[in-house]
Amino acid sequence: MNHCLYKKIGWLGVVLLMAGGCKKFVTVSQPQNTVTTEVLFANEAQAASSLAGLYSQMMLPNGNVWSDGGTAVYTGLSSDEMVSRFGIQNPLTYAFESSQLTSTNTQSSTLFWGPLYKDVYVANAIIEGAGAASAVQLSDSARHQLIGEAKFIRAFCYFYLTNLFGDVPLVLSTDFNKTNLLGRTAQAAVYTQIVSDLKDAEGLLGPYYSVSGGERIRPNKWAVIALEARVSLYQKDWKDADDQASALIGNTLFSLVSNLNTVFAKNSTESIWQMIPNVVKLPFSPDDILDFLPQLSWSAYPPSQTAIFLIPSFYSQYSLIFTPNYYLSPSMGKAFEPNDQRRAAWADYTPTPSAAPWNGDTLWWPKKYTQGLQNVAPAQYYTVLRLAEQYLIRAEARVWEGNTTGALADLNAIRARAGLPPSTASSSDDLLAAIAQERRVELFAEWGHRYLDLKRTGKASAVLGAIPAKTPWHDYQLLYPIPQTELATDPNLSQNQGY
Amino acid sequence: MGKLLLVMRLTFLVVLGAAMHVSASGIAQKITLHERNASLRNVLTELQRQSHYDFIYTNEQLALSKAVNLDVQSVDLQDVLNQLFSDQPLTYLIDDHSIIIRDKPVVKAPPINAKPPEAPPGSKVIGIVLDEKGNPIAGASVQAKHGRSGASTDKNGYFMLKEVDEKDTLIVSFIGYQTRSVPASNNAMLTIKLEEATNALDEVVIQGYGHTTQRLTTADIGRVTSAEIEKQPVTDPLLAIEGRIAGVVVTPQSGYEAGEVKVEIRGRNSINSSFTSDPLYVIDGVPLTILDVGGTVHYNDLSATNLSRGLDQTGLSISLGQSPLYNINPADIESIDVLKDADATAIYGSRGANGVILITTKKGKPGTNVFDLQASEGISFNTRAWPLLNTPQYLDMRRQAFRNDGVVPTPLNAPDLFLWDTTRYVNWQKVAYGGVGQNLHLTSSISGGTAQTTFRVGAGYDRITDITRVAGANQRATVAININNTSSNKRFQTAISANYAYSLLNQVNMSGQANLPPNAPPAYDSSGKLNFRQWDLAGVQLPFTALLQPYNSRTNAISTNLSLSYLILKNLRAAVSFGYNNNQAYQSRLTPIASQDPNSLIKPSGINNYGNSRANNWIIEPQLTYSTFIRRHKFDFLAGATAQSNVTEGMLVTGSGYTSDIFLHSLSLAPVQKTLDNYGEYKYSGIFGRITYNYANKYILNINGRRDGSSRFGPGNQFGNFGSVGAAWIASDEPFIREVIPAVLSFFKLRGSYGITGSDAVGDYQFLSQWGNTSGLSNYDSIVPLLPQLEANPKFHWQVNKKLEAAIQTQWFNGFLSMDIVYYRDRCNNQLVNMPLPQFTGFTSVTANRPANVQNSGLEVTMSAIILHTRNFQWQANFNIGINRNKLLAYPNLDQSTDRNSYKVGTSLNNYYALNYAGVDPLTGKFTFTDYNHDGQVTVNDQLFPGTGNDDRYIIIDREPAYTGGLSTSVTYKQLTVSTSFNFVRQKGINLLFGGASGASSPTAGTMTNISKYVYDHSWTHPGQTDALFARASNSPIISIEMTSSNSGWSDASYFRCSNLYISYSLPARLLRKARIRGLAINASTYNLFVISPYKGLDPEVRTVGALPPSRKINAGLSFSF
Repeated sequence: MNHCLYKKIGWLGVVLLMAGGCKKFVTVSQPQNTVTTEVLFANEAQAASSLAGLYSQMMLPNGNVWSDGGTAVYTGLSSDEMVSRFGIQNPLTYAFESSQLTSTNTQSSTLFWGPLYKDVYVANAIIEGAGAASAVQLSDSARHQLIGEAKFIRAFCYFYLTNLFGDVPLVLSTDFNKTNLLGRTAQAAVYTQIVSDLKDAEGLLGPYYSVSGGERIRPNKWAVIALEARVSLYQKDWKDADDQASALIGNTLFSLVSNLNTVFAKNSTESIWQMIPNVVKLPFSPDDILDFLPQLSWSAYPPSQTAIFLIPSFYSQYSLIFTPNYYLSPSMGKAFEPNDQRRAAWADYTPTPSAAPWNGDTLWWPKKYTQGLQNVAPAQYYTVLRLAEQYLIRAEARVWEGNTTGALADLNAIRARAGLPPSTASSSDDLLAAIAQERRVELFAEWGHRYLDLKRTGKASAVLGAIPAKTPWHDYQLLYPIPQTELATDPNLSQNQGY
Repeated sequence: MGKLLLVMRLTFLVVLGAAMHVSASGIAQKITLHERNASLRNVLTELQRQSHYDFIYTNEQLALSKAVNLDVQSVDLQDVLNQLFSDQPLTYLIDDHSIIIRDKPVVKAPPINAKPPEAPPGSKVIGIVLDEKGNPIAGASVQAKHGRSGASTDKNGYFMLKEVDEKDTLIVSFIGYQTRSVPASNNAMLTIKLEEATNALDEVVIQGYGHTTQRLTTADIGRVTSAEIEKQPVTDPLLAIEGRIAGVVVTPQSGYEAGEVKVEIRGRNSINSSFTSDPLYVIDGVPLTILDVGGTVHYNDLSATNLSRGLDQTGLSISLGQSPLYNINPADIESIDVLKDADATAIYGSRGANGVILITTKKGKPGTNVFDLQASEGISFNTRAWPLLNTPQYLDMRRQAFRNDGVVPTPLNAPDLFLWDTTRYVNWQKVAYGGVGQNLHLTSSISGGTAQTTFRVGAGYDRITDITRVAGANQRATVAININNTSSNKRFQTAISANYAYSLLNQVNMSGQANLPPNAPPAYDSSGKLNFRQWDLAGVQLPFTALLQPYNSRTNAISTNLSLSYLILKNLRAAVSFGYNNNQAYQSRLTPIASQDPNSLIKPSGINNYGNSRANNWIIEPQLTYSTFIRRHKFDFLAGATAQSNVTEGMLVTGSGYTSDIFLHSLSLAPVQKTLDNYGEYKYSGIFGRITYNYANKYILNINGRRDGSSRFGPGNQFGNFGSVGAAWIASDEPFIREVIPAVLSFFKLRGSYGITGSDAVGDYQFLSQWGNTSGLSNYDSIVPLLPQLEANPKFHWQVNKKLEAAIQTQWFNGFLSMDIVYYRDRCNNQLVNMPLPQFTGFTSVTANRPANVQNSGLEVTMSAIILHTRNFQWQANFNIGINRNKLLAYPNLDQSTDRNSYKVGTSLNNYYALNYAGVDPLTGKFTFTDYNHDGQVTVNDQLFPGTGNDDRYIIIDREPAYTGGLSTSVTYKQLTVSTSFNFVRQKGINLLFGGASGASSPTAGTMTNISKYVYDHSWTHPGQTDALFARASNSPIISIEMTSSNSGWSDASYFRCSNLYISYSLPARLLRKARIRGLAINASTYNLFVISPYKGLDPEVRTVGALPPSRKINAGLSFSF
C-alpha cells in the first residue's frame, strides 16, 4: 500500500465521522411480519385480513375462550345445565359449578373478561382503521362491510359482557390514554350502545352471504337483526322483538331443518351466523367443544361388551373413558319429554351402576357437535345464531303482546320438529313456562342461553338456590366478579356488590 | 452436522501440526561474540555466519558507524542486535530471513542546533523510550518533574523536551509499564528503558475505545484476566466472572450447558419487569446484539427479571433461551472488563445503561512461536437433593389428606392408593437429575510473530453431557484468529480478529419428574415403550412423554473485526473499525408418535417444530485520536462515530399430522405445515467525543459527550444527548499529602464521576401500530388473519439515567495490599417501562415513560492482598462485596397510576408486602394469619396500598439481595498452585415448602405429588397439636389468596458457593528444557464444588421447582506449551 491510499482511508474515516448521527442511520424499514394500521387499511384485500383476524381470534386454536365453547361450558356450570366430572378436584371450574367465583378466579378473567375485551379492541381498531382519513383508497362498500361487521361484533361482545358482569367499562377506542382510567358504565347505557351499534351495522351490511361466497360464516344484515331481536327480548321491547324475529322467520333464506342431525351442519338453512372452527387443533385440546365428547362412546359398543363396566368396582376405574369432562346435570338430562327426538340426536349417554352413589342415573352429555377436529375439513360450523331461537323469541314476545295463538304456533313449530305433539298450554303464564322449557331443551349447551334466560326472567335465585352445590345461595352471585387485576390497575373501577 | 464437527476436529489437528513445525524456527538463534573495537562490518559478517540471516546495508551506512564493543555468550540474536545498534546511528528491521540495516531517522530529525534562538542553548532533552526487549515505545509520556514541559514519544520512540533544567528529573510513563524517573541530561541522547508493570495498578485495563490503567483511570472498571478464566472448567465465559467483581451478579438460569446466564450490574436499573437488563457485550469492539423478536422470558421468580432469549428466538429450547456467549471459548479470552459507572460507560451512550462487558480475545506476542495445548476431562453431577418421602410416608400423607377432607378414597380419585403398586419405591429425583455428566475440553493455540506482525490461532472442542440421564451431548468447536500488523514505517496498523463457533446442543425436559409419587409406575413398560397404559388407567397423564421429544440446536456463530488505523501526523491517528457478527441457530423439537398416547381418542400424529433464529449485526466506527502536550498538560482527544445495524429473525415452522415417525425429520413430508416468523430491525448511530486531561499523572479529568439516535423511538424522539465528567486525584503523589499520610500507604487516589446515560432497551417497533399473525392463527375463510400485536405508543422517549460515583483507591505496603471503596448513586427518571394497563383496554401493558424517579445506591469494596511473597511461596487473596439499595424518590400522581398499590415514595421498589403467617390453627389444622388492623378478619385488598384500610399485609420483604460478593485465594509453592474462589449472596427467595408463594408451584401436602420430608414431619396431624408448622394434608391444596400473600412463601435463600477450586502442578523447567518443552502442567479444577445454604430447595440460585439445577463439575487436565 502506498501513502496515498492510507490517507484516503483516513479521510474516509473523517467523512464517516461527520455523517454519524444522521437521521437515515436510525431509520429502519417496517417490520416484515407485521403491517401498520395505515398500511393495512390502504386497500380492500389487506383490510379483509383484519376481520379474518377477529374471527380467527374468536375461534382460537386451543379453544377455551368465551367464543369457542367457553360460554357454553362455564355458564352451563353456573346454571343448572351442566356438571363437571372433576367436581371439587378442580377448584377453578368448581367455582362456577358452586357459584363461588372470586375475583381472583383466573377462568372468569381468561375465558370471558380478557378475550371479550380483546375482541372489542380489534373491533374498535377496525372501526377506527377503516374510518380513518388515511383509508381513502377503500371503496365505500368495503368500508361499510368492515365497519358494519366490526360494530356487530362489538355489540355481540358487549351483550355478553353486560349480561355476565353487569355494569362494565364501555371501551369504544383503541387509545389507551382515553380508556385506561374508565369507570363502569351502567348496564342501560351499555344496552343503548349495543342497540346503536346494531342499528349502524344493519344499515351497513347487505342481506346476502355473497361476501363469504354464500357461506354463512360472516355476519350480514340478518345476523344483525337476529341479535337485535335477542336484545329486544332482553330489554322487554316485545314489539321490536316480534318484528325483528319475524323478519327472519319470514325470510326465504332461512328455514327450520327437519333432520335434527344436520341442524349444525355447515351452512344449514337454519343457521343465521356460524363460525368456522379452527381446523388446526394442535396439540389436541380437551378444553374446546370436545369437552363434551368422551374418549369412547358407550352407545357405540354392544351391551355384551359394556355390561362388565356396570359392575361398581369396574365402573369406578374405567367409566371416565366413557364420560366427557362436562356433562348435563341430572335435572337437565331429565328435562326432555319422553319422545323428544332432540335428546337422542343432540346428546349421548353413559349408564351407571344401580348401586349408590350412582343409583342407576344415566349421564347425558351434549353432542350437538360430533366431529373431532384435527386437520380435517369441518362438516359442521360453530353455530352462533340460528332460526329456532328466533321462533322462540317471537313466541315469547307474542305472549306479552297478547297474541297467544301466534305464540303457540311458533312454539309448536319447534316442538313439531323435535317430534313432539303441540303444546297444551293456554294461559299466558303456562305459555311462558312452556316457552322457557322449550328454550331449555332446544338451546341447551349453546351460548349460555339457559343461564341468561334464568337471570333475565328472574327465576335464577329460585332455581339455582335449590342446587346443593350452590348453597348457601346469594343473589350477588348472579354477576361474575370483576377480575382483581383490573381493579388493581384502574383506580376508577369498582367491584360488583357482594364480592 | 457431524461432517462439520469432523472438519473442526481436523482444523484442530492441523493447528497442532503446524505448531510443531514452526516452533523450530523464529529468530531465537543463540549468538556468541567477543569483540573489542571491531568494525561494524566485521561484526555483521560474523553474525551472518552464526545466524544464517542475510544482512543488507550500504557502505555509506557503515561509514557512519562507530567501533563495536560487544561481549555476549549464547544470547538471542534479537538481543544482540538491540545491543549492537543501541549506540550506533543505525537501526535494523527483520524482514523474513533478512535483516535490513537502516538509518536511525530521528537523529537526523531534530538537528540539535537548529532550534529557535530564543530557547536558551542546552535546554533540550532528546531521548528514546524502549521496552525491555529494546523495541521503541510510541506514545509514552515524558514530563519534566519541576519544569513546565512534557511530550510524548513518536512512532519510533523518540521524544524531545524543551526548556528543561539540567538538574530536573524526567518522569517517563506508558500504559502497562512501570513509571521511571531519570535525571535530565541536556544535549545528549537518553535511552530510557521501561519495564513491564508488576504492580496491579499499572496493568492495562480496557476501556471504551482505548485502554488505561487502574492508576490513571477516572472510571470504574473491573477486570478478570485469562489467568483466572483458565482455571475454571466452564464453557460459558460469563460463569467465569461469577463473584469476581463487586456489584456484578452472575446467575445461571438453569443447569443446561448453553442455558441463559443472567448478568446484572449494580442492581436493576429499570423497574420494568419485561425489558431485559442485560449489559452490553462487546467482543473485540463488536457489540453482540440480538434483538428479542420472539418475546422475552418471564423468569418465575419475583426478584428475577427478564432476560433476552439469546439465540433461541423461537422459544423452542427447553433451557428457555440460549446464551449467545456460549459461542465464545473462554480459552480464547484475554480479559473480561466490566465497565460500571457513567464515566466508563458514557462513551457507549445509551447502549451502556446497564453496564458494558468488554471481552478481549488473546493476541499473539512478538517472539518465538508458542504452542499451547490444554486437555481436560471430567464429570458432573448434582450437588443437592431434596429429602422427599419414601413410599410408606407418602401413602400415609395421602391417606391423611383423604381423612382430613372427609373424602373416601376410590380408585377414581386415588389411583396411587388403589391402582399402583403400594410397595414400589422409586427415587424420581435420581431418575431426573441423578445422571453423571461428562466434560471434555480440548483447546490449542499457536501464537507468535515479529515486532511488525503477530498472530494467534486458537482452536477448541468441548463435549459435555448434562446430568439428565437421557440427553445427548452438547458439543462445541471454536476457532479464533487474531492477526496484528504494523507497517514498516509504523504509521499504518491493521488488526483482524475472527471467532467462529459451531455448537450442537441436546436437551431433554425433565421438569415435573422429581416429585412424582414414589410408587408411580415406571416410565417404560416391559417392551421398552412408554408406559401409557398403566398411567392412563389411573387417569394421570404420563409425565415422561418429553423423554422421547428431544430438542436439538445447531448453532453457527461468527464474529469478525477489522481495525485499520493510520498515523496522519505526529500523535494524530485516524482509525476505522468494521465489525460484523452473525449468529444462527437451527433448532428442532420433535413430538414423535411414539411419545404420544396410542389410546387417545384421536389417533396421535407426529409434530416437528423447526426453528431458525438469525441475528446479523454490523458496525462501523470511525475514530480520530490526538494527543498533545501543552507544556506539562497532557491532552488526549477522541472523536468518533458509530453506525450499527442489526436484523434479527426468528422462524418457527411446525409440521404436523405425520402418520409415521420415519418422515418426522422432513418438513416437506408434513401433511400440515405452519410457519411463524418474527423480524426485528434495529439501527443505532451516534457521535461521541472524549477529552482526557492529565497533569503530571496526578490530576486527571475525563469528559465524554455523545449524541445518540435509535430506531426504537418514534419520529421526533429518536435522538438524545448524553455525557459524563470524571476526575481523579492521585493524592499520594502530592508532596504535602505525602507528608501527612503514613508511609505504608503507598498509593492514595480519589476519583469521582457524574454522567447522564440513556436507555432504549424497549424492544423494537414499540411505537408503531402493528397488525400481524404472530400467534399462529389459522386462515379464516381462506383469508390471512391479522390482529393488532401491541398497544402502540408513539410518544415514548429516551430514558435518562444519572449516575454519580465517588471512590477511594488505596494501596498499602508497596502494592502488597490494596483496597478500593466505591459509593455510587444511580437515578433513573422517565423510566421506560411496560406500563400495566387494565385488560379492558385491549392489552395488559404499553411501552411508556413512567414519571417515577428511582434511585439505586450502593457501596462496593474490593480488596486484594499479597499475603506472602517469597521465592518459592506466594499467597494472595482477593475479596469483594457489593451492597445495593433501591428507593423510589418521587412519583408524581402516584395515586392515579397503576402503581399506586405497589409502590410508595421513599421505599424500595423491590419491597414485597405480605401477611404475617401466624402458624397452624391447633384445632382445624389450617393456616392462620395475623389480623394486623384488628378488624376481625384477615383481608388482602389489592386495591389499597398494603397495610392500609382493611388490608392486613404489613410484613415487608425486600426481594433484593442484602449483599453479594466473592472471595478468592491462590497459593503457589514452587511448581504447585492451589487456588479457590467463592461467591456469596445474602437474599430472600421463594420458599418452596409453602406451595402458596407467588411464582412457586411447589408440592403441597396431600395431593398426588411427593413432598419434602420436612413438610411431612411438621404437618398438622391431629386437633390440639400446637407445634405444627404446616397445615393439614388435603387433596384440594389450600391456595388461598391469604396464603399466596403471606410471608410464609419466603425464606432465606442466601448461599456461599465454592465456584472454583483449582490445583495445578507444573513440571520443573530444567526437566522440560531437556525435552524441549516450554511448559507442562497437570491440573484439577472444579466448578460449583459445594454450596452452603439454609435454602430448602435444590439450589438457591435456580429456585424454580423442576428446573435443572447447576451441576458440580470436576475436571482433570494437562496443559502443554512448547
